[in-house]
Amino acid sequence: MQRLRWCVSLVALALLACGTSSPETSSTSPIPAQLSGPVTIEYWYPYSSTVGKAVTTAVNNFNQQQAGKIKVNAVFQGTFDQQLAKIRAAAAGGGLPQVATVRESDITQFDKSGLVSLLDPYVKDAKQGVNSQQLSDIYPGVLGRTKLGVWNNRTLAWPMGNTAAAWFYNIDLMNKAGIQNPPATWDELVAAGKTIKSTTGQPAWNFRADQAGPWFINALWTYGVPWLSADGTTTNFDNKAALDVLRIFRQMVDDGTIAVSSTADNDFMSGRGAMLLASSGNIVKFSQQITAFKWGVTILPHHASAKPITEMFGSVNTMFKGTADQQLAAWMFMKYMASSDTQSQFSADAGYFPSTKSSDKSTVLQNAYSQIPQFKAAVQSIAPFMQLLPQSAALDQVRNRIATDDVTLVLLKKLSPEDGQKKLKLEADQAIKQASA
Amino acid sequence: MGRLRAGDAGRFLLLVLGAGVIAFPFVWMLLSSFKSNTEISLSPPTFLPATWHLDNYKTVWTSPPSTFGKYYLNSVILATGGAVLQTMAAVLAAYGFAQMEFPGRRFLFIAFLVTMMIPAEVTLIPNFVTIRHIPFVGGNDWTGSGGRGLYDSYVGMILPSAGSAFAVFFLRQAFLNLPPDYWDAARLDGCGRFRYLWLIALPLVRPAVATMIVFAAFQYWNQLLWPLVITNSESLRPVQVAILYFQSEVDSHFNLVLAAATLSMLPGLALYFLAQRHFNEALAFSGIKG
Repeated sequence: MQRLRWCVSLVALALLACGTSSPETSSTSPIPAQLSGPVTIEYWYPYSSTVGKAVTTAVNNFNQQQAGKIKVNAVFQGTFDQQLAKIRAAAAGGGLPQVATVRESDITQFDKSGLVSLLDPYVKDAKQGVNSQQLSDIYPGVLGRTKLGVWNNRTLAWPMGNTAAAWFYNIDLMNKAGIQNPPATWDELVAAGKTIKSTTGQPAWNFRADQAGPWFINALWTYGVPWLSADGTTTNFDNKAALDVLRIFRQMVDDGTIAVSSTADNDFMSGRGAMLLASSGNIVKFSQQITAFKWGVTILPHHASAKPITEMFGSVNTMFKGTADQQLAAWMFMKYMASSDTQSQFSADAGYFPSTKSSDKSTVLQNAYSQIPQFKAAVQSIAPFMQLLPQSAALDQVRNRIATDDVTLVLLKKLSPEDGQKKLKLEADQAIKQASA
Repeated sequence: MGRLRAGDAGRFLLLVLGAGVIAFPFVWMLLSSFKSNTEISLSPPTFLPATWHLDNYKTVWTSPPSTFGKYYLNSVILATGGAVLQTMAAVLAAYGFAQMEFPGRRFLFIAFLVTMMIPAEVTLIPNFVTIRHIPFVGGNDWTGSGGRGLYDSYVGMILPSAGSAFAVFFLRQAFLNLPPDYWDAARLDGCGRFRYLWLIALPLVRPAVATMIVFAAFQYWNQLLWPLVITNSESLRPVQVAILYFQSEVDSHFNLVLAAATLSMLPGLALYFLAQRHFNEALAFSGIKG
């Protein structure tokens, strides 16, 4: 009897060990003309606090509109990384949602595993698709993040929430130094920095040490030089512009006009610095917490001969493979989330940039603008210029580790700008080679 | 005598300083939980709140989707159930490793210890697959397919951590201190293994068991990633998930996070003080230093 029990246990264990869930469908299901009946779909999102509330408001509105037809169960799944861990687990064990709000780099991984559904047929569908007017209403940068080169220009995402690198400035402190407008170019920043330092004793730029890589790559982009070559095989860190950026950073350190610290945001909020490069998602927080001085926000400085540009952050929605009905319901939900009305409300609630140009004129966003004037300035001066960084499997490693480490060494005067550039180029190119091997 | 007193005073001062260093973050957390979100970001920081915001605790209690109390209750269920299950399993395994002779005992014990070196992240996916594919549960058939298994349940949250190598190691140390003569004497009186364990051995290692219960309860109480991954229903999620509702990349309410953290610490503190005597005895008994 005991032996029999052992055998049964062993067989059960072996079955468990072998049992992996197969994908629900092997390919994208055909698009039905309409839903065959009521559908319930699951939606995972990684937002809490104010943004999380804005998401649930949008989902509740959708559920009300689609009562009796589609029900979306929205489930909070922690941070982006925690949600990614759960999606990986669900991909292996079953239980993937129909829609999730994720980062583009996450989708690249899901696509390799054949988990996500192609959206092009839905976008182009005569009945359920998006017409040319609706498409042209979406900001070019936002539309660009739905169809990336690393995805072979297939549409695997649809707009959700957008923030961007933004240049915050302390109006009172700058006026005290006799400066009326934020610097439009890097040369103006260097000059303004000296004036601010000499007249107020405060640094011009509160620079977050852990963002040294991202901000270097952004500054390089404002010279018209993306961090990655067009074919994606090498970095452009050997470009003269990269050396110019490092020299500017170093000069500002030598001038004492840049303050590198891990508490740069708090230093700026406390009035201990004139300018800060940070995510535009901070606008609502700053509007609540900065009461001692006037502040503004605009696009970051750029090279005199290049067009303004800034890195877009935020997230997109993606669809996981399911039945035809589930996928259609998922697409209708994604389309709703990216619509002008929803984007207006979501932006007003969350402080994110809308995906659609027409949202700027909506009543709900106008009301938000009247409460936070800086939000209006940000949407109008930054949103048209936001772009997703060229994508690569090595982006995270290059931006957040290699570039952050090497640029920090230049800022700390441990490396000259020339040596920093060489080290950065060498290490970043190696990372790209390893990632593509 | 005078020299002794001076030495005592020095030692006392050192202990007070050490206690101060350890207590400071908790005092800071408590005081900051009464500050406004603006005040908490001030640089240089303030020590005492400019205005005491008692309403932070009300906000924390009422804000999360299931209200903080429900998350709290879930954590109590997890910590209690998990601690009982983990300790029961560990007592049986530890007793076996310490007091019973069987082939491969040493190898098995080392194999147990090796599992302590495997990071929890590595076992996340295998555990998830196992929990979702347990046969005959949650709509699953005998092959473990067709349903959700123990996904989105208390048992699913508890089960993977119920087998703890550290608990087995810790309790084995305690059982090793029992002289074999006790078992020989009990056996002569007709006592079986389970009866001996329950009536004689367990009472003798009570401090270690009490300590293990506290450790296990803390372990379950502090879990975040696993409960988040294995549940979908807000009504099942523990208090650590509730704390996430007050923070995000650009919109964190640190005053509320700290108020929630203060609330989440209270049961742990109470449990520690209740079991403090056993805790100290067990640490001395097992030779493990904190």
